[in-house]
Amino acid sequence: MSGLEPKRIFLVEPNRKVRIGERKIMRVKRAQDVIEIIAWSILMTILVMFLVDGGLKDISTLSSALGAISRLSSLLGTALLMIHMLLIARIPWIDKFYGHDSATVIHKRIGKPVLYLILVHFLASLFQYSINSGKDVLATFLWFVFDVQEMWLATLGLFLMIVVVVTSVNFARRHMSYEAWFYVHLTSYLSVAVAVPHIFTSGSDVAGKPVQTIIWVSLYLFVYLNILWYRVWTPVRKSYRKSLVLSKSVRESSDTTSLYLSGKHLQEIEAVSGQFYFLRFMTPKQWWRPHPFSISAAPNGKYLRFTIGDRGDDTKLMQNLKIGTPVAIEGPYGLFTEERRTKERVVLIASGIGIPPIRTLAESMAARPGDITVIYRVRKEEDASLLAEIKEICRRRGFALYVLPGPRGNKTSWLNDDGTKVPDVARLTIMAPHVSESDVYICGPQAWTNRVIKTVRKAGTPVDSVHSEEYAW
Amino acid sequence: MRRITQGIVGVISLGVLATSCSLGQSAQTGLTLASPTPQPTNALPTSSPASPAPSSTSITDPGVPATQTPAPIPTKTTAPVVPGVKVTKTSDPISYIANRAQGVMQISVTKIGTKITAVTIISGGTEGADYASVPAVLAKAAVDAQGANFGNVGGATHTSDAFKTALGTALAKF
Repeated sequence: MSGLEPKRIFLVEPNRKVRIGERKIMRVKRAQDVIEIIAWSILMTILVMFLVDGGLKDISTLSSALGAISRLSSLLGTALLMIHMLLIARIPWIDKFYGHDSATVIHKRIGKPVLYLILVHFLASLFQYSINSGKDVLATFLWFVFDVQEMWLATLGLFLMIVVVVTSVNFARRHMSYEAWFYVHLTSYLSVAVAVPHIFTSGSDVAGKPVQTIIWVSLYLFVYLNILWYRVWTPVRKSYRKSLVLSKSVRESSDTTSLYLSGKHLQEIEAVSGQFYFLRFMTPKQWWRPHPFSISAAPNGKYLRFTIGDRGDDTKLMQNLKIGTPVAIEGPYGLFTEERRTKERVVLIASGIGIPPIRTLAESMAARPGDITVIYRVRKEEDASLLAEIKEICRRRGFALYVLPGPRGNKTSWLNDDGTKVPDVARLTIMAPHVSESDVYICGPQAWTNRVIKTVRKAGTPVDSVHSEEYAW
Repeated sequence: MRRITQGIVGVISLGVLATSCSLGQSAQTGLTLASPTPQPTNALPTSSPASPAPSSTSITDPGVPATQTPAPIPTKTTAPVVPGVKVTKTSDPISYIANRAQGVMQISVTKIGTKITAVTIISGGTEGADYASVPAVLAKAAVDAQGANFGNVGGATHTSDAFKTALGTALAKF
């Protein structure tokens, strides 16, 4: 089923040199520290403003304590919410040092605390006013919603926020399609927006306080402009400039297809091997849904190639796109690149549809023959995507290649069943004797990747030399 | 974050938080009168809202045009200018919506001669235990200021505004 004859494979010149060494990691860690200090100081600024304003001074009764809790939780919740949104704005200076996937993971992790803080704020102020006015909680709630300025909007925002978080927890995610989740998540921007007015009209720590107002307005503006710039304007500008269209579609295996995109200014494409783009196929049904795909050929100035697997839903439709369909791109993203390499030797490990970034890395990484070991885990050798290309790359560049077909050895193994009971770590060390001295790049399904990481760490590779990336959404 | 950075940031943060906490202890919170805003319609001189007795009638507010002010002789403010009878007028009801309360503000003003001697709140106020003293603060401020030219009560802006409007209508009836 292989679409391309080995002889006709077009490969780019590999990189001539690469910086390696520990200092490379140090630079990244220092930059991460700076970014984390900035995030921390946002929270600190908010706290300091609250304390200097005498936020904890007048607590004497239950209601004044509730008032302080309500103020504090809303301030911290909103500050965290700003950080939460910055993390998903695809800001280059965040993604460059954390990777789009880590930023997304932190974004997910902050999501629930934000909601809890806002809920505490809501409940604390509800009970505070209920105590003060002597009415029951329901009456106070109705008074809030119907009589207090902008409060019905804020309540709506809270409701939307709950829906967004509930649909984002892992349990719900497993039962939802990407598309349904995407729809719901769009409303999160609305939920943040509708909560803004009540901050400035009734917020005890903002309304009528010029310094606080200036700080909050600038924080909101900063986040808003970053989102607008990096999530809307930049992709539109790049897509328009490149004007990519689908030029060729090649079947690679029974469930994968390579899409070749051609367009203008492809020489100046910023992607490097191992990175991915969000693609939008501009058909009436699909244009609004971006999908993350790794490039499956090193950027060569002629075309961009993506190899996508059929995982149901939208990816099925993508197998049958018409030639000439315009494609909008967002990216490139990802740190699954040679930029993260610090060692001379490299082990590349892929499973199934995880092969595209591994293939591009094998194609373009700076290496002498023997420096790189490629391990490719497949179901069937006859039906393995891009296998002919991988074989050709390894043959031309003198890399060791291990193709491991068939079902896995046992439940916890990430390798195939080879008839022996040799543990994974031993088999890995046989295939790649220098694994503990190598940079290891792993790409495959998340559960599988986790098992590989475990084995690689057991083999002695330091954590900073193990690279993996998930398609985070 | 690396360990060392975490440590440094943690220590600095604790210091900053402790400092701001102690600064906060002396912060003005809750029901304090802000400095008065210029209100040219007020013909009466102001006294500093913080001053407890009307005897200290130093005109500190530059916002009040001097030409509109029939400058009183300070010693005379302790006694009525014209010995007169006690007159009480009731203001129009002013309905208002504030974040913390909604209601109708109506007050009565008692004057002896030209001097405001008492302001009583008939209806209106604020909800909440923390704000229970707002009407009293406003009434006292009005007597002290001999008019509506005093600052708003922090956190009770709408109530203050409604009170001042009501006061204006009551004074107009004299």
